[in-house]
Amino acid sequence: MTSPIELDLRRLPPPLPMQHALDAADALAPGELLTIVAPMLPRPLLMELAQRGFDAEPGEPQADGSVRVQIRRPDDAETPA
Amino acid sequence: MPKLRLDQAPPATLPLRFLLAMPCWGVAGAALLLVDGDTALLTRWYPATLALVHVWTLGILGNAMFGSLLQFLPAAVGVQPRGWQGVPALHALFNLGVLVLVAGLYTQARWPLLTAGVVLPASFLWLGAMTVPGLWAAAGERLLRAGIGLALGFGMLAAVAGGGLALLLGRGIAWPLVAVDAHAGLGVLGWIVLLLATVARVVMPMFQGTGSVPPRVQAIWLAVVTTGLLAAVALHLRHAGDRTLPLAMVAGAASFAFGALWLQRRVPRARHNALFLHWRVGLLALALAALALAAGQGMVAGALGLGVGLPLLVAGMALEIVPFVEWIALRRRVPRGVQLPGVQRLLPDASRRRVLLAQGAAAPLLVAAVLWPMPWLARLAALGQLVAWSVHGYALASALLAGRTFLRRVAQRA
Repeated sequence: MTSPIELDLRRLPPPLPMQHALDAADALAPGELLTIVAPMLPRPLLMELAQRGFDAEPGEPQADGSVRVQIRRPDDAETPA
Repeated sequence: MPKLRLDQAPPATLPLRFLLAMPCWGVAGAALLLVDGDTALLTRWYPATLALVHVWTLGILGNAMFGSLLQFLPAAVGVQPRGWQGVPALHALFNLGVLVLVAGLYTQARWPLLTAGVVLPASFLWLGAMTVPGLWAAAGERLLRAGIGLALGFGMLAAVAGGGLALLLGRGIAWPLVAVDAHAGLGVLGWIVLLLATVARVVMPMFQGTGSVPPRVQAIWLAVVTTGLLAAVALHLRHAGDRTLPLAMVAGAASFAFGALWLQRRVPRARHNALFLHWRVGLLALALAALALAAGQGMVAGALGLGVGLPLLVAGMALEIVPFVEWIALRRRVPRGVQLPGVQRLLPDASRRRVLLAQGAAAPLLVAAVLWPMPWLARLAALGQLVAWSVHGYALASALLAGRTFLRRVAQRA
């Protein structure tokens, strides 16, 4: 399942991009997708998402350094017991 | 893009113990100045002065650098410290080393000095073993990795040189003065300033809204400072009294301070948060310290650089890192659906500004006590330091306390 949700977090001062991204990810339903545009490769965010069981796929950095990250909450069936 | 490996991920709170030790050492430095105010600020060779300098450089700045590196490496460079499970032991070893060194320098007693001469180099080498292999193997972020790697290299060199000096003193052998200067140059410019300038490349645009230094300019600066410092140390060791080493320190510190102030100039007032202001005041103090050193005023330079400027830069960063890692830890512990307080709620900007106010009030007293050496003024400066570092410690503790209180409320509601 895909979702039109996209958050552009580039203009927010840290740590707000991470806060908003995690809040939005927590609100996802199983199987739902979210795309964020972070001001740079958000390593701490990726680590937190992995910790919480999300799939997160960062794209290549753009000319301004920003990175688009696709975040997906796994379906319940995919969640490891 | 490689997947992150969770089994390698250290807990978010890993750097906290170092960052929380920092204000404790600030209070210890204030106590030392309170007791030995009549001599501690007169010349760099008094036992109390040597002890105070190492409280500042190792207790405050060293703890801040160790802790910030452990937070910065995974977050900005993607490098997980190897064997991070040993961090609590590293923290204990390092702070034990600082304690015995300060005690040894203060009392000139044999065993504390001999112990410190082994323990402190071992701590730096341990940090190097934790971080350098990852830095070497990582991909991308070449400028950051090069800067951090070089700073770590200088830190280890400075620690080994300092350890050697502590062993000499512990065995009653007089110090070769050129080696003391070389140790100071490697430690202050090579380890502290180089690391701060490297980290500033990320911290300033991201947290302070400044522009970035062009990569080519930063790479040239890094190369010039590294080769210049090594050459100046070599010259100094061969020809005592050579002015190249102090000049290298002046050039390195001043170019960083003025360059960073230049970057800050276009940031709109609305973005002048507590970190920005900590850095503005700290950079101004560091720039003044460089000018004082150029003018041959070593004691004033030491007070401005080691007692005010550099501590303000790392103190500002600690006020960002501590609530952030506490917030991450909270996030990992509360169940899904529970609304978390924001990072700013854990440590509001107003509290961070109060810390700066206290540090800003203490700084002129310290400098005045060096310029006009009078016991009462030194003790007033000590009281200023005591208040400033207590306010800093209280702010960090209150951020942790806010997190723990929130967790307790969540547990009670569940």
